[in-house]
Amino acid sequence: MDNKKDLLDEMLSDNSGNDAETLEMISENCEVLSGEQKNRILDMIREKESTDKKTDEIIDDDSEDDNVMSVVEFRNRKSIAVKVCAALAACVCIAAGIKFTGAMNRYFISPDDEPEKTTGVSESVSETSAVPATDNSEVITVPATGYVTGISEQVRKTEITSVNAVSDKYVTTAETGAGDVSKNADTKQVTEQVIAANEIVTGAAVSETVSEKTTEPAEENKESTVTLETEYHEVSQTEVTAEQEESKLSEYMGLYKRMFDKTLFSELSNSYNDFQYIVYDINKDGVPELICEHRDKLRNESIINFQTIEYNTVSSLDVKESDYQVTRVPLRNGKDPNYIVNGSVTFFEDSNTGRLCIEILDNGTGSMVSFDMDGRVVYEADALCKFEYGDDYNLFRDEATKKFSISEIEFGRVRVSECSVMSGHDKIRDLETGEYYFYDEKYMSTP
Amino acid sequence: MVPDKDIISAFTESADEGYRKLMDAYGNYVYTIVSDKVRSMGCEQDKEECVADIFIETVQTCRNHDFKIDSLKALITVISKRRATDLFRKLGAFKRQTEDIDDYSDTIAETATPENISENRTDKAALWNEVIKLGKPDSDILIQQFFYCRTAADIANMLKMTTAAVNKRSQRAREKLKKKLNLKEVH
Repeated sequence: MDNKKDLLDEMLSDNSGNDAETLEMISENCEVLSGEQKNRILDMIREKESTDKKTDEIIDDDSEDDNVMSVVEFRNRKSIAVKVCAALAACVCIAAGIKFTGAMNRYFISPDDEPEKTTGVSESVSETSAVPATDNSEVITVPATGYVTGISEQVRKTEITSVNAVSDKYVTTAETGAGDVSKNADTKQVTEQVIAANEIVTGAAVSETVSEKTTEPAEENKESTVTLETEYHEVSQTEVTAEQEESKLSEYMGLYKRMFDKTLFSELSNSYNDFQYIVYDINKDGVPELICEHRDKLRNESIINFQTIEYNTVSSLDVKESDYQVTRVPLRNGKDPNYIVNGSVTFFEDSNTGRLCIEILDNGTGSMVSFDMDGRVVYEADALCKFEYGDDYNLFRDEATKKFSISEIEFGRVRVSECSVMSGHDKIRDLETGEYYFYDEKYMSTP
Repeated sequence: MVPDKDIISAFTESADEGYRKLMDAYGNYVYTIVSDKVRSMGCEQDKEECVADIFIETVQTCRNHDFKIDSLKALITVISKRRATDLFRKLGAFKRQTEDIDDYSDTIAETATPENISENRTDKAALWNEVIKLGKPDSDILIQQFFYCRTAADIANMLKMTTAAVNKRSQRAREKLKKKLNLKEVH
């Protein structure tokens, strides 16, 4: 009895990887935020927004230097003016004092008075200092506040880590910036010298290496041939957001791709596999342009978020909805099967046009429709049969060209090509006509 | 549930009012996503700050698009998951260990198959569905206790009960749940 109860407790406590529907159901049925908490959060929001506003105003001020100088001069002039006025006032008081006392003797300032006067003057000086700051004066004294944005340039890595769905590891490469990439490195060399995961974190976290090779810290702006030797770096203490990390990783992905002469693909996933990022290099220049984020179903909708990367900034292009659950593309070497549940959506590059496309594959009918990012249909075809070649290939007939094509998935990229050589599959059946065909190098021929 | 268009129109009048409406509509949901990610790794203050950041970023994104957002829920969900992941990484950063890629280079990343994952999620969804069917306050107690990892004293405070009553109710609710689940298995 106790064991069963413990089992139930264990099940209730094991709450990792809940899908969006479950989270929604829980949030709708149980009020978790008290009024006090809500007010606290709203106060935090107000405070952060006003801090941001101030920081923006300060940053937007282009003539900051001039203002600083003009304010300094202004304050100097002001202090001088106040001193003069104070002196005049003192003289007037003295004259009045002489008149009232009737003394025509030489004015004598007793030692007792002087401190007062000094005090009086210094008070006025201190008053000057205490003059309510103008907007300009804030420019001088305001401390650095607001959010730290932008990419930290202090991190330089030459480590390579694996993309791993279990934990937050990702394949990174080489140092940032344009370095000449050694193209002689092969996979074996890489795996021998690879390092563990790196994370850019707050604090003085370091990226540790597992290699036995001795390391030395890299200089910041050093342009060098990217090697596979590991190096020891102290990472930036700046807090880095997910987008910054994405941008940083995308740089590494670009270099990684150049290194291995691969294009288009790399993949990250967070530790709960709730969403994955796929990095695309559309124009094949080694610099990634697109990150596609897959996320889970929300009711009957899948949200696909497109992002572009320009100069290390990430902006959202569009949020599209589809009726299919987003599929996961294969991990690492493309040999893992697709996770297909009731149809699939896969991002790929159209090898003919180089454009990013979405393939929506219906497992039931085997039909495939591909759209480009503007919603135009690129391909529309019915699958003739599904190869059991690790489920990586689909043979279909392109309705437009009436030619047989194969969509194959390699490194997460679905390549649609005509007439690829496929061994071991010499007979296929056209689902439309029911006829059988032999598949050979040149094309299909009827038996 | 406050409709999205009311929230958006509130922002055109006053940011304060907009945030209040956003909080009423999505506060619970966002906090749930953050809690799901972070669990007991972070304190309440961390989670609340994360929620605040999420709302600020959501509104900023809406402003960048002139509030022409098709689905506020979709947007806030994506942002919530990202920020929650940031928080998870920040809180768990020092606890991670490095591992050699050679350990993984020839093996599939995880033993879970699509079927396993799908089944696991379905089971969890079914379990929480059964918890909710228990009715309030039992369902609230179990959710607060096991999902949000709150103490009996906190739950008692929230539900205006005594701590002893919360513990008792939790125990009975789990007994009831266990019987229900066993019954379902048998059928």
